[in-house]
Amino acid sequence: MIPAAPGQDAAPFHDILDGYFTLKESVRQLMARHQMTWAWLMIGHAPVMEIEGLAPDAPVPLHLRDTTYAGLIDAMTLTVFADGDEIRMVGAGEWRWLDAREDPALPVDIRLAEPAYLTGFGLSEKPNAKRISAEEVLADVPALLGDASAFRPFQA
Amino acid sequence: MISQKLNDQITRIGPDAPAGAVHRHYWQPAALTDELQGDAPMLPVNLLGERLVMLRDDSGALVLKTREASADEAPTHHPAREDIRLVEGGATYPVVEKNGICFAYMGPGEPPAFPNFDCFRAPDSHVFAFKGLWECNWLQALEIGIDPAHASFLHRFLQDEDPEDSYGKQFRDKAANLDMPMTQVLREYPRPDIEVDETPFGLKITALRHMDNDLTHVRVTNQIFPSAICIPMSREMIITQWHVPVDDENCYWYTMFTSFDKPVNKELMREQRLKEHSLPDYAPLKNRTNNYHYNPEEQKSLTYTGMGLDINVHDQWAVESMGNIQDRTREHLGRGDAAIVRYRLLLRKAIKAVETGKLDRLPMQDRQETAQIVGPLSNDAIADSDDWLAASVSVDMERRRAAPWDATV
Repeated sequence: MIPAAPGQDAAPFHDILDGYFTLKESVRQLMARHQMTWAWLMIGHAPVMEIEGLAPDAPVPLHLRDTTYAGLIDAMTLTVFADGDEIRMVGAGEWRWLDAREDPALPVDIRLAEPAYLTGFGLSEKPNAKRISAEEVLADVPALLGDASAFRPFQA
Repeated sequence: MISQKLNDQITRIGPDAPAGAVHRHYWQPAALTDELQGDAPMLPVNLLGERLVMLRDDSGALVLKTREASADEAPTHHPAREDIRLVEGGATYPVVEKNGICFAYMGPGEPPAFPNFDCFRAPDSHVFAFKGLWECNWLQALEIGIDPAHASFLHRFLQDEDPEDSYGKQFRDKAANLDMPMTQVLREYPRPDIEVDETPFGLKITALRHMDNDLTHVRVTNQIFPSAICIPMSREMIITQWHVPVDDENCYWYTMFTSFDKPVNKELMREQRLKEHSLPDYAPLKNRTNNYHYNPEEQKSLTYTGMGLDINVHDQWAVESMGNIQDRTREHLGRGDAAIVRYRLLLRKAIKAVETGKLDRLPMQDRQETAQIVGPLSNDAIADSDDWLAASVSVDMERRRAAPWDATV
């Protein structure tokens, strides 16, 4: 039996992703905040937006106007790998647009339109300040898997 | 900053609107018992965008029926009895009276059970109910109530009153077992850590204010899905308050004040509140037409808002001044808005559940389980260790043990 050691066990946790950044940037900040190298995340019912012509690293305007595509991520799971300041994430989810779009895919640089609550498991050498019980994370999994037939792949 | 379409989805309450459909799966406060006059009442009720009248049916049971109304009727129009006409074949909704409030169910199928909350299980002598009109959408009215940080700013008192004069007033009692008024705690420790937990009824919201001498002030409030809060008022009383949509742009707060100790002095509490409202529509006397009686001299020396000592007026100004429906295309929430973020998640989850017919995913719809829900814990406590949860539970248990009615959980 291999004894437990710091950084070798994934801890169940919850937190809130900052809004208005790209999803990838908010997840990168989450990983840095908890010093995680790997995580499996669940996000649900999160409003998203794409603002036409706005660069991924540009600040959002103070007021959303008509050139916005708004949608909702109904459910999504993501597996995230962090390597220094870079992250890669791959997963699947169900989302819908409230504004008609030719391409229904979720853009790589999709932005969160609000802070988004998440639960998951993360690997870190630092104790997770937002630790919750594994049961709390797993409680939402049956509903998530029940909707999974409509999931589409997403990576960024 | 959500788009207008996303804002409409969570704010509008007509029968075909997503949030309106969710509301219709829950009992809604429709009138105060105080408003019913005589054995044959005919009380106009404006609720969830519908024009109704509360009366007794042939069996003597209270019901809501659709009444005739013109399209340009004011949102809280209160026609005289002789002018009320029922719509032939219109909707009839069941009504249940609970400790001073008449609740109506306007949804499909069998109504859900009532949870066994303290405000419902306490005897009538220990509960006082009142209501008031706010001219704004229900969601912004609710969201101020689930933000534990707002009290340190919006309700900041620059001087403290004698807690002995605090009866029937919010935030004027001592903070838990400290010899310090709540107003001082809120003023001196304005940046609470906020913990939010999902519960069978909604959310438990804990605000932790880390004080001197390694003490932590723990304030537990609750969101009761879909539109209510349960918060402490004093060591003796809690407040359970619904923000009930009249239509998209107006709402009533309905409050049940529940005492764990002495019977409520209803006469005094009614008198305190009637001084601030006009009947029959319970419209507040301080409002946007008179600038909420704003007084810059008072603002210099006494209150953050300069709008008097009644904190309800502060909240009213804050939510009405956002506009009839808050423009959330200009909103920027942060992680400190944890309770608002978690509430909107619950609401959107419920909207999806109703849209897809998965009603078992809505909170408090299982008739057996809902009737077993007790509490909720709602209090202020002081913790002298990291175990603030134990301190909060201990204070709650002490109050429940001493209560003259069965408040056990």
